[in-house]
Amino acid sequence: MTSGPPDGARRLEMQLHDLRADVRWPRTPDLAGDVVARLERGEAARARPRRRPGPAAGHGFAVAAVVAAMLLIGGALVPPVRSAVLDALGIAGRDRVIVVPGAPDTSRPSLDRGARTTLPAAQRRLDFTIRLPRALGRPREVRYSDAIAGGAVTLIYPGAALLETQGGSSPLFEKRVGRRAAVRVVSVAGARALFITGARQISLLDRDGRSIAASRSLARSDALVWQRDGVAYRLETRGGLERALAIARSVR
Amino acid sequence: MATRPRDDQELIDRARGGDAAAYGQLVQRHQQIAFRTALVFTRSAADAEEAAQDAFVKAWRALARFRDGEPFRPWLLAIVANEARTRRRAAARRDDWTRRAAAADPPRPAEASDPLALAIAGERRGELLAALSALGSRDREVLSLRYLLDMSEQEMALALGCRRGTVKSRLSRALGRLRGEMTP
Repeated sequence: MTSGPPDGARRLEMQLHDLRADVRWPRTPDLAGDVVARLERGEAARARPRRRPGPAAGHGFAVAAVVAAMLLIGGALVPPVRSAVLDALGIAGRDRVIVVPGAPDTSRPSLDRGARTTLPAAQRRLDFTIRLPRALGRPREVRYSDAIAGGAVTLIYPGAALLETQGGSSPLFEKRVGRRAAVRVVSVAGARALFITGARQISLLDRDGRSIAASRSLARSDALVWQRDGVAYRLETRGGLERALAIARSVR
Repeated sequence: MATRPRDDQELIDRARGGDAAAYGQLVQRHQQIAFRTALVFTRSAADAEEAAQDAFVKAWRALARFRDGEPFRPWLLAIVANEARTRRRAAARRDDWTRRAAAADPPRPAEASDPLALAIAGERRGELLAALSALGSRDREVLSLRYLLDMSEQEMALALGCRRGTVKSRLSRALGRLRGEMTP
């Protein structure tokens, strides 16, 4: 009978085994927290359909597809952490984000912070319920803008600003980043989120799929963007990812 | 038996009783291998995360069908791999839309900037990596499961949805093709 692989084959297998020590796997996300959150929300009965991409989605498909690619194909850093071994095996080869270097695009409509108002007044003009980040309490200032379909409210705090606007079935954020910008895919209570540092501009897609540049409320800040229960959020902070996540997860 | 390591089984029993926190511990214990297995099939960290997460939710729903006393990991990895393959098919369609929608493909980072690429740039290693790159995706999958994830044949059979004999022949053929790529 066979006496095992010949020397050459054995050597090759050993080389392959040795590769394991060289692999730089992408960081394993904390799945446990998200899974438990989903179970507690009662999703166990039916797996959540997270994506609804497709040509039948309606307006703004082309842009939505690009954004979907950013949100869903992403998952690495820009520049991504790469491993020669994983590359050779074709793993993580599609991890990428769309990078549009250069200055903000001023040719498109833009969304500023809008006029100063109060929470009740802003709430009356919006179809969704404004959520407050409990970690920050009541905002120092409230702004409302109707430059985007459905309106947008921005809650301003010392060192942080949270923009909320009506979402849709498509992912809502597009980004234009410089070459030094980095994007990480993270999770906010089970919802996919992007943590973007160094971005020159982050645009919103309105309900019609139009890309609208959203002015910063906070200079030199990072941004965490996510969508949940039909509302899109952009949180600007200067405290790094952990602080941004702590604030985002306290939005109720 | 009381002395047998039954950690997974105990957590499974508690999870079957509706204890989500116990299931969370089970997830934590297996999330790394689940994520990496998904990554082998999806080739995208974001897709792998979603596939693994959805697989854990589906596994929770299927816990009643889990056979007591069997190892949890192979059973789980079969669900993960199935979920990941489904996502890869969806991603292939999505990529097609993306190609049409995106004005330009993003610049790829220079390989030379990767410290690992520099560290393992030994001639022989480089040759092996080049040969791996030349293989088809099915061969790379089976080699990744075996040599990067150190899966047993049984686990591979469950993950690939085939019999152990098929795993052996697929592995053998992949190694043969790899040798062929490395032969001048």
